[in-house]
Amino acid sequence: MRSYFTGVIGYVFLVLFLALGGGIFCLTTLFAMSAEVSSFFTYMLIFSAVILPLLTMKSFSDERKAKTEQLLLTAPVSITGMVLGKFLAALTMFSGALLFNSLYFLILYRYAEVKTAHLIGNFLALLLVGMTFIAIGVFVSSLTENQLTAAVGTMGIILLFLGVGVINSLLPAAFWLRYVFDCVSIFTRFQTFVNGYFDLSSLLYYISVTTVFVYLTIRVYDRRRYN
Amino acid sequence: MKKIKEKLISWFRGERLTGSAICALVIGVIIAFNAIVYALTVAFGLYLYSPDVDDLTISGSTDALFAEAIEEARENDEKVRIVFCRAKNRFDPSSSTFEDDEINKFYITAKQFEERYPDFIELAYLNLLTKRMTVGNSGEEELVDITDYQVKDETGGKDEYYPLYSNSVIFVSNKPGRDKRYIQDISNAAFVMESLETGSYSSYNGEEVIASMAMWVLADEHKTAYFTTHHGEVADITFANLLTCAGYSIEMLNLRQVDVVPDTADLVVISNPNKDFETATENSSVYPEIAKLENYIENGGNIYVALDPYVKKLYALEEFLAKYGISFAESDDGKLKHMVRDSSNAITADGFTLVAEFADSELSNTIESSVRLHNDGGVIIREAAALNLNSKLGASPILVSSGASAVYEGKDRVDNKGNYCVGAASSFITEKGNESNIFVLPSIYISANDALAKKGYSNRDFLYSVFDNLFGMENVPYGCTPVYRRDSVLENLTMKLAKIYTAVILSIPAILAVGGAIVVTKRKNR
Repeated sequence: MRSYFTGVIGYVFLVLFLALGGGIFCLTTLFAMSAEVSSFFTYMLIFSAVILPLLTMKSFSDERKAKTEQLLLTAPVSITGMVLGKFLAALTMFSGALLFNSLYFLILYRYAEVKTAHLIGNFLALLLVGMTFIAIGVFVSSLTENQLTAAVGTMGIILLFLGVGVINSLLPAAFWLRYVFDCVSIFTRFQTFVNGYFDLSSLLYYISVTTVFVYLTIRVYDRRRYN
Repeated sequence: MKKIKEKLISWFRGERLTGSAICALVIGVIIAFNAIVYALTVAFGLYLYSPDVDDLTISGSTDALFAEAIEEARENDEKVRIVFCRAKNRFDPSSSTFEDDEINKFYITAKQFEERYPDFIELAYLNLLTKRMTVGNSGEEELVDITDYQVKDETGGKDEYYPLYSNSVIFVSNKPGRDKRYIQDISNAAFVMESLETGSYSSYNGEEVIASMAMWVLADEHKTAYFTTHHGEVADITFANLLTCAGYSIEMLNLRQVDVVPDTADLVVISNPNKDFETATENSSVYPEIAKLENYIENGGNIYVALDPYVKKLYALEEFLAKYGISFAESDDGKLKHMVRDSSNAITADGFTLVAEFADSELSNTIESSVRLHNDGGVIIREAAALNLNSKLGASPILVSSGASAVYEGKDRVDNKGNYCVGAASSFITEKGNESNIFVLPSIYISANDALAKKGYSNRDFLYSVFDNLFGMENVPYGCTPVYRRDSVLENLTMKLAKIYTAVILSIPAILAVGGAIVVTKRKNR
């Protein structure tokens, strides 16, 4: 966690996140004179898809490039602990920034009736999506020593998950593949939250995808340790 | 047993599998688990939280409207049949073909009408594939001729029928010979859609649609409203829907192609033109449009005019209206209209969205009294210009701005005495002895979607009252309460405050950026 603030990446992430998040909030609510929050979360989803890879790109790739990976692998810390530590550090950065963004919504309570349950659900959904993106980013970062490759690779995978939802709209309604894409699409799952539903299957989906990618990262390092 | 146990443990630890196989197994288990939970969620709606269900209960405001019609219908053994183009079981939530869509909401409303007025309303279900219909709760299916439930498309001389879709609804009498009413897609007629992608809507007025359609079916005569064309008029679908609910049929009128306004025109609507109407010129052999309108007025016609005050001056049209005592207040050169703003009482920060009051005139009082029987709210109007009236020519104010309002020519305030006329009517007896009425609204907003759907305001009932008391339209569906799904306007937030909040919000990352730069620089310099 400290490494984010010894360099510039932590500050850059926080500044960008707070600036753009604040800007999106102002444009979609204050200037639109509306307490309707769906647009804010939809834009934040897309924005997170771009900015979170920047947060995770140096998680492991930097270690490989600086040749400090050996220290990590020989340290008296389990691989699982190491990977989870990196993952949770990035998640903490993201959660903190998101929590700060959530404070802006207190302004809306003064001027309109805000559906608190809906708002909390949306924030939780964004946190879950962020958690998933971070897990993907950490995994891709473990595969390469080039940070840019890690960032681009992460964005590619995230866009694939998001793009599946777009493809769905082009398929005939009864086509079986649509059902499969609905299951897999991060965007479709997120829209359920935006529409006011707190969906158990979507909650499990995000946790599952995160688990899969964290597990894959552990497996990558486990293999690397013994190779 | 011990060997089996050891084998299972070694499998669990992955000692017998390669890394790839373990990954594949883990991923496979997770996918399978997710698929099962997803299927269960879709089947049983396993939501930890779901949004409030809309209360679609009808208000009962149609009791008065239907009272006379029910008596007559009983005498004639007649009923209004609401035909849904879906099999009955598709409205059953326990059926696998059930869809919770807009037509289902409309069905819920229609069902309540059937239960409240069982001698007057009946529902029918027409299966478009099998061409069989079930009426009410009988359960018996009868083969029908689909064309009995289709409306003819007579535009352009065609002899075809409008197609029926699963979202279509037909209103018809159970007695042959009556005209039918056809709604091709109920989501356009009864819903103000907020988002087509998510299917969310801001308001729903199924009660009003059913009430008006039922009255229309049973009416012996139908009035027709003609919308003028070829002057850049705005296709105001919302206003057209409102006229339809009031009982009008809608037609288009190209004044250049007719010699006179048709005799069937009970109302002519001039909806936000941006080109002027033709007047007589020395070289013109065309019977000018303005003269046709004057002729129509002379024969007892009614005109509804909505004008965008930001459009360039329409000399001929404004001169026509001035003959009947209604003109715009404007700058000396005629280029700028006097726009009304009310910074203290407006509901948007710029002062242009006002809550208009009823003026102190006989006609306004009549219109207001009809509105107040059903609705206490004000009339919301935006971007309105002030009108000057000549009462000697029959003009009287209907809507006025508050005493705190002012008028502006562009950015310059020219007057602030308040009580400016923002809606007027001219009611008079013509030289031929016919009663004629003109209603002028110097704004395009009063009948916009969000104005009509706005909770707590009476725009719908106000316009119905104008149709009723000014244009003589009977049986308008007053008081039908729209269901509001979202009401999320930021009240009392001015643009100035919004800018202050924005500045504060954006200053935080700016301070963080500066602080971060200082910290990083200091660290590097150590």
